[in-house]
Amino acid sequence: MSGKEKVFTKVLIPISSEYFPIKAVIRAGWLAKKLGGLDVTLLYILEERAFKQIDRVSGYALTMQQRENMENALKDTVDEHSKIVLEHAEKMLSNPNVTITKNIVIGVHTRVIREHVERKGIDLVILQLVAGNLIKYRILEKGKTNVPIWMEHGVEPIKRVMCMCSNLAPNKNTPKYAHDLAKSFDAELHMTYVVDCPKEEESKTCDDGQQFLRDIKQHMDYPEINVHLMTGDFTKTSLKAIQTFNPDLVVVGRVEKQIAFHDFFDKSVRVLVAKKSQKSVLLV
Amino acid sequence: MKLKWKIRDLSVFAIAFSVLALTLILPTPEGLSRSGFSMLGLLFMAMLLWIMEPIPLSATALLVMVLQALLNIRETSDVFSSFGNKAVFFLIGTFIITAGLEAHNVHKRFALRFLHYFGNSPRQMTFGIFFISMLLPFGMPEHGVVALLMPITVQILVAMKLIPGQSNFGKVCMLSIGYGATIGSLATLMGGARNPLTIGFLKETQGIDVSFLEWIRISLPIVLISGITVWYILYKTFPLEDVDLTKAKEFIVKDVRKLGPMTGDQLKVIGIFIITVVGWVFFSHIVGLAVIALIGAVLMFLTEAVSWEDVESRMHWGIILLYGGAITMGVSLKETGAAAWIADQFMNVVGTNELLIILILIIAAMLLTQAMSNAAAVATLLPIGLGIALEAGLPPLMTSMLIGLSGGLAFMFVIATPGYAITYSSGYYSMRDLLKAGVLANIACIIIVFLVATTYWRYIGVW
Repeated sequence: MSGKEKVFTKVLIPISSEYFPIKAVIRAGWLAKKLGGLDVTLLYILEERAFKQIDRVSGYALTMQQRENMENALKDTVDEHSKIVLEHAEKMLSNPNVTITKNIVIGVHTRVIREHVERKGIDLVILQLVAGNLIKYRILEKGKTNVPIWMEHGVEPIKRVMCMCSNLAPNKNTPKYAHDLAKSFDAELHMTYVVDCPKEEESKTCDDGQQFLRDIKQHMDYPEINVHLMTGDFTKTSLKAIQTFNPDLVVVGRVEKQIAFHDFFDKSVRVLVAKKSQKSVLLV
Repeated sequence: MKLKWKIRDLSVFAIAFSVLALTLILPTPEGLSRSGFSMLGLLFMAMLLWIMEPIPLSATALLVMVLQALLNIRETSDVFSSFGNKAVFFLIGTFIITAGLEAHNVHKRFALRFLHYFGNSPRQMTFGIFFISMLLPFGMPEHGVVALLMPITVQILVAMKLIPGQSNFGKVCMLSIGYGATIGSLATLMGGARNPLTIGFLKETQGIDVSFLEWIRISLPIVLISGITVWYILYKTFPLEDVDLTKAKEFIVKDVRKLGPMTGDQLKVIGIFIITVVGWVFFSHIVGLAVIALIGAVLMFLTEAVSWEDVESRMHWGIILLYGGAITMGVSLKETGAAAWIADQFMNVVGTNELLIILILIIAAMLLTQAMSNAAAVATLLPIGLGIALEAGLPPLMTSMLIGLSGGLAFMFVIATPGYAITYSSGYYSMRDLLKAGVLANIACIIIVFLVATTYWRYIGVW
């Protein structure tokens, strides 16, 4: 990936009927400016789960006639309703660097996103995680998609990018994405290598880590790369690094780690880091 | 995905039935009969199934009846005879009458005409929606009110091009429908099935009759004070943006025109509705509420205001079955001594302070109803609450009304009542919005019910 190539060209912003991801839309507009143009697909997802929930909760209480009347009336408005949302997003995005495609789909959040990613050759999905709704964000789980997912937290300009590497990760794509994005954003670049292993293997793994960071500094074409080697549990150490160096964007790759009890519920270590960091995170 | 749901449902069933099985195997606790212990197991099973809903609520209600007979907790004929309670026929009668109102769009005409007068400012408009949502359940079931008003309001919001999830005006409008209907459903016996369930249970177990007017006399202050307070909470929680109401007014005027002049059938159903209400007010102490409701229902057919087809598709069979199961469970909890045993354990922990007991009953009913159907929550708590009332020397009427009314006041979760599930689907508010306003609304209502119960109810002789 050379610096002149665009890091991302086709971006998908899923807009769920559960909430409007205002920060994701703002970020897409900002990215388009910084990357010199983007094809943005605004995908309005009418959540199937919400409809099922109505059936489940109100099934016993509504008569057949009441349901029929309600469904008919809503059918008439659903298109108009979706258009209002998409027009609002379009207005927020409107700048000469953005080409917009709009779609309205009824389905399950993760399934619909996956289908769109495959069909439209999307190379980035921008999400804004919001708690307290019906979305399970299964798209973040291992193996659901190979496309990078940007989880937007704040909408400030990105001035510092941090890449999280580790002995638990392949560290192939992650540094490249971090480098190319930092270059495009004209941002400070930090490379952090976390050594997460048993005590007896720590010395050797630290040496490997240091070598990795030296290689990065040597071979990466960037004015100044700040490198950090840290030891400890990947999740905790990453969060500590994020707190210490305060990046605006954290790039995290695949992390192969035995599932511990707390990870079990959050499905993967990197998603846990993303959720707890309170920063915008790019999962690659 | 499907498999996961099945595993979840099977797990719920396994836990529910395991607890029930344990009560059949384990030695009975001191002071509790074998059938009472089994009834406790059945109560736990029903509560779990009503909360987790692996099967429809009404199916759980049927299971409750069947298991009582199978486990020999009560005689089969006794179990099913509770289903034949007068309140069930009151429900059937009112459902037929409201089917007539619905079939001829009388409720829609009334709602639109009413809203027509509230379109001068965003604040007035949201108040109008809240108020009409609160007023309509005085004469028809709350869920029907929400099913009527939600599409109308969505159409208004769409016509105004308000963005779902972003517009506070949209949030307040949608939440007003749910909250208004919830509060309004407390006012009369027609608003929610838990109201006739409460009086049915009181009659069945204590021999106490509550008339149509007496119910209103007891509940109305709570409805009015809660209504104003909760609307104010909504208004303060989500400050309204400045919106142009021209499109909204145009939509309402257009819809009112579409309805045309009043038809003969509409006049007939309105006439029968008024006659029935007058009958409930003046003659229910002579012939009973159910008889008058059924007379109203028969009049609907005699005057050909409705056909059987109109009624058939508008009958709430689910609610009737749920009601039947709930009342048989309540009666069995009392008959087997299980309710008294729970009450005894409760009193051992809490003591005999009347005010504390009242507060706990209100909070317990409001918490339970957040997780399960209102009628199921009331049915579960009523026998226990009555047991506590008898032990603590509180009047059964007051305790029942406390539980019956508090059991309808769920404001916090989408699953709490069908009204929220329906309005939530509009996309205009999030679960977080509901929780944000709902917590405040529930706290306010706990205080309101407590104050009304301890002051006004004393004054009118309920306590």
